[in-house]
Amino acid sequence: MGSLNKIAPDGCEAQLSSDSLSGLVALKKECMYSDLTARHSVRTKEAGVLGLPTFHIQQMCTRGVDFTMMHEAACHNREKNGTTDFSQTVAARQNHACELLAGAAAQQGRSHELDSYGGLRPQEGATIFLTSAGAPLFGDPFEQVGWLAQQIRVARRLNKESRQPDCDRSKATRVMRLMEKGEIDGKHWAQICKQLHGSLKEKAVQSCLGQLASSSLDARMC
Amino acid sequence: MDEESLRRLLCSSGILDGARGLINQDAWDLAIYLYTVTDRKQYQGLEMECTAAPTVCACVFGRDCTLNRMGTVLAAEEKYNRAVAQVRVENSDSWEAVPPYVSTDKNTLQHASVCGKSFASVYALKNHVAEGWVGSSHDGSPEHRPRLGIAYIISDASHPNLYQSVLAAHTMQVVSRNSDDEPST
Repeated sequence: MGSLNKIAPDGCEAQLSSDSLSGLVALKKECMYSDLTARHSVRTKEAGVLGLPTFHIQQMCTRGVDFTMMHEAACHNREKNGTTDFSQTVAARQNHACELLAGAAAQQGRSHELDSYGGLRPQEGATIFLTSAGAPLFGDPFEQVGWLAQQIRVARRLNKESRQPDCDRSKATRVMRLMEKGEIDGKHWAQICKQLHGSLKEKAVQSCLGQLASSSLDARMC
Repeated sequence: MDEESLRRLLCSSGILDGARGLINQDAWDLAIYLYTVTDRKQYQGLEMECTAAPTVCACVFGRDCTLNRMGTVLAAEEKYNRAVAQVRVENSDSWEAVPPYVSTDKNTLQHASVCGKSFASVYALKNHVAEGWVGSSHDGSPEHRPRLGIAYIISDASHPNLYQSVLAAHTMQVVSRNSDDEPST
């Protein structure tokens, strides 16, 4: 957006084309209309990095530059969906070129990346991130902070239990302990839990977490 | 006026009716605590910006860069960095041939943090990173992260010659913190 700001003459029309519909929507809501409530704004994933583009867009708007947006489906998606009409238009070809360039850039930069990697890396252009160990938390900050707090609690609980003999360890933390050892895959475990329903799920949870003698489940079954 | 007198004055003053709900013993103690630990280790523990953990690099404002890889596996003299530098492939700047940074402990795969510690699972590594303080060097090693690149082309749609219409084009790699795949834009 900074380059466009330098190049665009006063009063021209700028058409922004991308294959990322979500990116365009975020750009429109965050940088152009600026009509998001504070609650919606902080929950926009890209809000942190869109501060600088907003500045440039507002500058261009004062110079009379109008913005329009166009969603251009990616070339591979066109082929996959069998909708290759209009895939030879200028905008479509340029969009494809951008995709190839971005793909090439993603695989390069090994020597440079090591210079600026690590939890210590400060955020140069985006200052409104919440961070964890110096790394920014993307997405909904309320959700992210909740997950982080949960992770810290779990880590400390497991750390505490690791100092106890096996017989004194809680049954409720068994799955977490196995995940920590790498014997259970966390993602697969979550998928299985999602697929289970009703009493089967209750039984599975019960067998993992242990059973209290006076649990509400028992009371219901009696 | 000492601290206790000031607190009592604030809490009992009729002028501050609106704020009285906020000024209680706990809030006061917390404010005093935060004031006294300013710019110390506790600030890092609270994930607050301080000199030890700036969120914006000083070089952005024209001062000396604060990037520091000391004490991490990314430091020049560390085995990891030397191994990465020695990878010889067709394109020396590519990540394609860089093997994952893992260590073997009793023949099991270990997931490494840049601080040098290794863990038996990604779950344990994530817990370790979550516990890290702001400004501390804990994260998965670079080759484990998905690679992200962005590119743009600015062209003049009114130009009669398509090949001369491109005004600017740029491509760059961006840092990804997420361990899952992210789409390139």
